[in-house]
Amino acid sequence: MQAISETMDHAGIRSRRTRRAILWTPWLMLFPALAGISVFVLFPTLAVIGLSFTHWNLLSPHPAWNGMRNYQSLLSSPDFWTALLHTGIYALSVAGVILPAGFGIAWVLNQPLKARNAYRMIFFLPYVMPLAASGIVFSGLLAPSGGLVNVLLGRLHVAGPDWLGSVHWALVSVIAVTIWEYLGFYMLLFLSGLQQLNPALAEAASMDGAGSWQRFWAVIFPQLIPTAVFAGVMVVIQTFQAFDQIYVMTAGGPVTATTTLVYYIYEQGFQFFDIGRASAASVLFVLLVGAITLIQWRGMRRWGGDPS
Amino acid sequence: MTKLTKAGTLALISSVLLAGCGTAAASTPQPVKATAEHPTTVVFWYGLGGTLGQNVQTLVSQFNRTHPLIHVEADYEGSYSDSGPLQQKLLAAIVAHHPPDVAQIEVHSMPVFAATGALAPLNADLSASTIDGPSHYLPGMAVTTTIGHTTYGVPFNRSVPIIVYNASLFKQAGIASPPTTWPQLVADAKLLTRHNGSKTVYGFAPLANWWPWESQVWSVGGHIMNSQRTQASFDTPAGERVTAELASLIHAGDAEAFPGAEGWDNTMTAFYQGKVAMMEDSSGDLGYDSQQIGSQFAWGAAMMPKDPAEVVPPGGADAVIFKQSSPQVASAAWTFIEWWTAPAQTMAWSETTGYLPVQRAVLTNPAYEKFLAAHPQNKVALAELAYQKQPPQSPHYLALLQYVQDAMQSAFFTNTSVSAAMKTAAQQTDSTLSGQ
Amino acid sequence: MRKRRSLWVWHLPLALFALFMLVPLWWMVVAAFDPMRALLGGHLALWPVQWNLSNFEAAWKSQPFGRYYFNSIATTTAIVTLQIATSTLAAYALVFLPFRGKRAVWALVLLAMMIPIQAIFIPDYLILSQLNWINTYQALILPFAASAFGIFWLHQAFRNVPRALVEAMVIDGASPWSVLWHLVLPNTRPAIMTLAVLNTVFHYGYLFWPLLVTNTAAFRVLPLGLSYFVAQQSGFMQWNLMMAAVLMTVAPMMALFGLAQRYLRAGVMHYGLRG
Repeated sequence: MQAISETMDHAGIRSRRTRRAILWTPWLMLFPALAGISVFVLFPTLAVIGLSFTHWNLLSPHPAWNGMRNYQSLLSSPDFWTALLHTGIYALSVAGVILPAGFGIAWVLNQPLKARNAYRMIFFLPYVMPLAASGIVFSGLLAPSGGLVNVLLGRLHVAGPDWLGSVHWALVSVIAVTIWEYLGFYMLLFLSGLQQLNPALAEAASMDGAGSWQRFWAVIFPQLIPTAVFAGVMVVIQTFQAFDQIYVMTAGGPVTATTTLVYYIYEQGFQFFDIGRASAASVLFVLLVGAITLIQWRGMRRWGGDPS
Repeated sequence: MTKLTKAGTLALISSVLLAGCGTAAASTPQPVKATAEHPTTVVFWYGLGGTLGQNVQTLVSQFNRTHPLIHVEADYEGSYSDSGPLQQKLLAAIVAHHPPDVAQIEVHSMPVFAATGALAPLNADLSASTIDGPSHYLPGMAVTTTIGHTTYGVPFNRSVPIIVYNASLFKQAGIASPPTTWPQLVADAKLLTRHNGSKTVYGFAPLANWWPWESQVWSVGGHIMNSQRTQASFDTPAGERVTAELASLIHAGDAEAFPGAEGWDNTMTAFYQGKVAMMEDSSGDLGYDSQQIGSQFAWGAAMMPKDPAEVVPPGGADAVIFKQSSPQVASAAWTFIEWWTAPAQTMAWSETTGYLPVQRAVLTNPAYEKFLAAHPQNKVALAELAYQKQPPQSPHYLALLQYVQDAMQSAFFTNTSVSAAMKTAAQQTDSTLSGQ
Repeated sequence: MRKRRSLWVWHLPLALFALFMLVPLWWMVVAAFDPMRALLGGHLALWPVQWNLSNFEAAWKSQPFGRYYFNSIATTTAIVTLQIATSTLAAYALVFLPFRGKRAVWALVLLAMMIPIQAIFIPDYLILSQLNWINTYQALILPFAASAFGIFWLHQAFRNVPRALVEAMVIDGASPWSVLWHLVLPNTRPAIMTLAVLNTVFHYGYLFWPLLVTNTAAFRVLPLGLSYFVAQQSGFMQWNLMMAAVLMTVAPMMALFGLAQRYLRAGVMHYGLRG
């Protein structure tokens, strides 16, 4: 209240009508956004939590209270753990390639190199492709007979596998398209981190000269930790949510080779219409994403970033 | 003041759009008399892609041309089988009270959709019809359309699983006729397989798919579910025997199976290229097979092998009408279904695609007799009709089939044994059946 | 000078890697323009037998791509416009206006930002079906009309507007609406443009949501149309037609990339600044 009267004093306005306007204006401005977020995000979140304690196949009229049974059956279901494992492998593989590669390329392209803008543009270009489109292009490249990849392997006298049809290679293929799509994005993230470096330090860590590695680890790297933590968390969350490319490339298969947690939720919900189980899996998914986000915010605070 | 208004529009745009879109919702259908300018629209969701999908569109536009008062809007919704998008879309649309008027329902999923209560009973239409009804159909056509005493479906595009074989390769291997039993098939597959450097011709290509699997379980006397339909019962040594024999054929290199969502299509392509001597296929593909094989090699079709019994599942789809449709639309929908299943159309459909003609009358039509004489493969499917068995009518049967499909894929393409894979599938099924 | 010279050795690996990144795009273009199916004939085809538009014609005829274009562009435009409007207003209130409960509202925004739609699509679907909105434009647009991320993003940008300028306008008697319109928006244009461009890229390419809430070709958007095009060929893929369809889908984003690259890159780099 003190703040409000302060503003009013500044404005030198005291009429009752204006006072009311000042009270209501913020809420008027917040209303559209808050309404949208409440209806489509916050209320559904509460609903998912509620539904996770019920048994409901959508076709029976009402959900029936089910206690913790969805969670129990989920945690004892090998399918759920497999999905979780695939999600973990997927996220860590993408992060494991994209973070070092993105950083390396950013490092090189931060040097006063000729045509570096052209390179940046090329590496970033895939990011604007719809993931479904990228998925289809890669399906073509990876077609078992006649796809470019297997034709090239054939030249080397290697019999290429049926990439998307193989239990062993399907997830690798999905990982590949995800890396291709997002690499440029993370390169730019690192580039912005590098450009914030203290110029004097950047000079000290220029690429040639003895001991530059040591200087890098001792001087530069600590300054890049916030960017790295941010990028790491972001890539993990982004891959956790992946759906489009999996849908067009493998539809979660073969068997369950590319069924990630999100795909599992989709199948339980929209294929088997087991709403209780899908909701329980969703709650666990939100908790997982939430935990990772908290790590990010903790990290930001610790290393001086601004999570607000 | 103008300044304020300008900025205020921002708030207005957002709140008005947020609220205002609601008014456009769901126009209630007015019972107006249909005219050629304003025909009654029937929304029809189908699930056949590729060439078959084009055939559907051709027939639909033929219907629209000949029925000026009705307009059938045919929407392709993705495959109707294997928990394909059409089934998901239909169930989700039923939940949203927004189903189409007519849809193709894969024959195994009829109990699932009947349980939703969204399908219109067709008993009255059928008994009044001079075209549709069990007395007009070929035997076995109606095994899947009735749940309890209510009939929900009309046989629309029906098929059975069959064996398609490359007669030229059989001749080269000195085999006179296609196998009739599973042990014969296994022995023939070994004879037919030729490893020639890097080029291998495989004797057999089984499908990693639940459909022929049903026949594999039943032909040895196995049961897929117990009689109360409360438990899976396919994970027995008998129920697994044929599937296990096929898995060992694959692992021994005498058969090749194709994994993944496109496994079936890849199987067909390999057969057309002469890389496979025998395959499991649907009679609904015979038209496409004939077109693709052309005169490259001699080929034939055989019934699914027995061991000792000949038992096959029904296949393809039935057409249903949704309760939600207004009487006017429902009657237009019925007109469309009757037209589609009438002798002239079902015969044309059968000749083009290989699907079974629904009507008994077609068999005595001289034109169809002539067609069969030229395409003896199609006779096999007709002969198999007598051995159709009704799959368990459980609302959870689709889930069971999905688990079995996964089990077959892991048994055929990984080191998992058939019994271990099927045991997992049975456990998954049981947990679904028990409501958990 | 010594440094400059030593740098050029990087061109070889960079150029190779750039080529590698471009291969999928190049293959897409070649396949889209090649009327033959030579591409999948088992030999390398890095140049079309002839440049020809017949694939585009065939793809355009096989699916209602005109309708898909309209739907994609209309829904993306509506989402982005609404989201910017709602986020701008909310962020302004949160940054510049004093009111009771601000901390709670901000906490809700941060909470909403953590919830992925993939976790709550079932209740969202049920809400839309209760409203009878399945298979309508409302279902495609309204769930994204407000965005916690949009508010967060503009909140960060608005905080950089000098408070002294705002105070000065308030003292002169300007209303909050007027401050927003005449001071804050002009001063944060790059951030708003960036949000718009990032959102356009995301929503134009989004498959998951349209897949759930649309049922007929009349409401399908381009990525979903593509996935149906794939399904309709049911395994016997005509890659040249498929790639023509993909290229048609991708083209507007490539154009946007050309026009708004500055904002896109600035946007992503700005993400990094938060780190």
